[in-house]
Amino acid sequence: MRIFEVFRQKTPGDQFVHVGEVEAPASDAALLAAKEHFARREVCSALWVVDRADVHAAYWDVEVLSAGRSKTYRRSAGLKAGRENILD
Amino acid sequence: MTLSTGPKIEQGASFEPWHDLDDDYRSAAGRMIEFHMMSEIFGPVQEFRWVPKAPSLEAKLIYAAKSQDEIGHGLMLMRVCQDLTGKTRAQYVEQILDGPPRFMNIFHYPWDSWADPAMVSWLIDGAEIERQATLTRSSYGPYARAMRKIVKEEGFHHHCGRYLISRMINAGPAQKREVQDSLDRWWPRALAMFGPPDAQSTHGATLMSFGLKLAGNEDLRQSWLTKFTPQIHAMGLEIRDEELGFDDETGRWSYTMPDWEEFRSLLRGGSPMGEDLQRELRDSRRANSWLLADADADADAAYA
Ligand SMILES: [Fe+2]
Ligand SMILES: [Fe+2]
Repeated sequence: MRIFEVFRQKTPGDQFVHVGEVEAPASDAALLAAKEHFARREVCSALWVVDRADVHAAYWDVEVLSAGRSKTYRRSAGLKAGRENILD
Repeated sequence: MTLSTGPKIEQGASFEPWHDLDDDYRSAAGRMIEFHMMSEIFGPVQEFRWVPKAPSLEAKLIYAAKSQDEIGHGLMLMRVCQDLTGKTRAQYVEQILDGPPRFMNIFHYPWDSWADPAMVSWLIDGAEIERQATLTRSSYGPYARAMRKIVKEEGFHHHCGRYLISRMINAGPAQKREVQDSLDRWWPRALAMFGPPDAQSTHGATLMSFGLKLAGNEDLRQSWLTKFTPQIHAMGLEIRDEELGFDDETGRWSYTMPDWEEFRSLLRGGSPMGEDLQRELRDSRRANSWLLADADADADAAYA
């Protein structure tokens, strides 16, 4: 038996989102199990299963993963900056 | 996956199986989630028996879908347990078939008429929502994530139970009497389901301190009473509990204390119903073994 991570796309054009995992002897059986588990009640337009052995995880700590957490420079003052000039 | 240290146990911390978890935490989480998994697996064995007895095609479809959901909950939680405890699926199947049948008090009682499966769906799945909604914030990440899907489905179970009960009540006075009789039997069991008041539960305090359990038994029971007492009355049913009352000053409900001795003895695994359900699981495992062998042979051939 192998463990497969399941990714579901809700409607065409959406991103694929990890929804859980299933255990199955092979990928076709895993897809059937995934359909029963994750597409039976909720809408679904596509399904992927990925063997867990093929998932590569970053081993860095959260401090490294979200380095430079202060990103105020991305919130440019935009329209407001121009308006301030007019008001002056 | 690489082992990493992970956060310290504190308010709002979230753990994953690959974190370097404390032994106490890992075993407390394992015990709690295994018990939940066993309940989700054993419950539907009793439910399947009522699918062919459903009073209409619609009721049959509703009830078949509900019981299939429950097996799905069991399988999802089995995956969560495997990553947590390191046991394999085969080991869990063995535990389910041959170990002590330990699961929620509710599934240890026999069901007598169609009112019982409908009543359990309405009251007990409704009670499960109370507890499980808090568990979507559990400190164990995979459990919290599984709970988000499960709670959504429990909402469907609760609604279909309510619908099936209302159909029965409107079918005639004889059916309504059956429903009332069922409520009389299930009321104390539903109250008991939340477990003894927190002062009596040492296990609960440990789970709370680990962030594995988010609300106390009594608080959950109280909020269930607040929701269900008016629902039951609106259905035209009577709650035959002489101690039942709401204290405006304290904002708390009073009720007849369930028999905690009976509750504890059921949870330790003792009931003829538990053994009966387990026997049925063993039989169906035997009957389906050819399919499992075929699937394994197929997979071996594909990967040879
Ligand atoms: Fe469930
Ligand atoms: Fe349920």
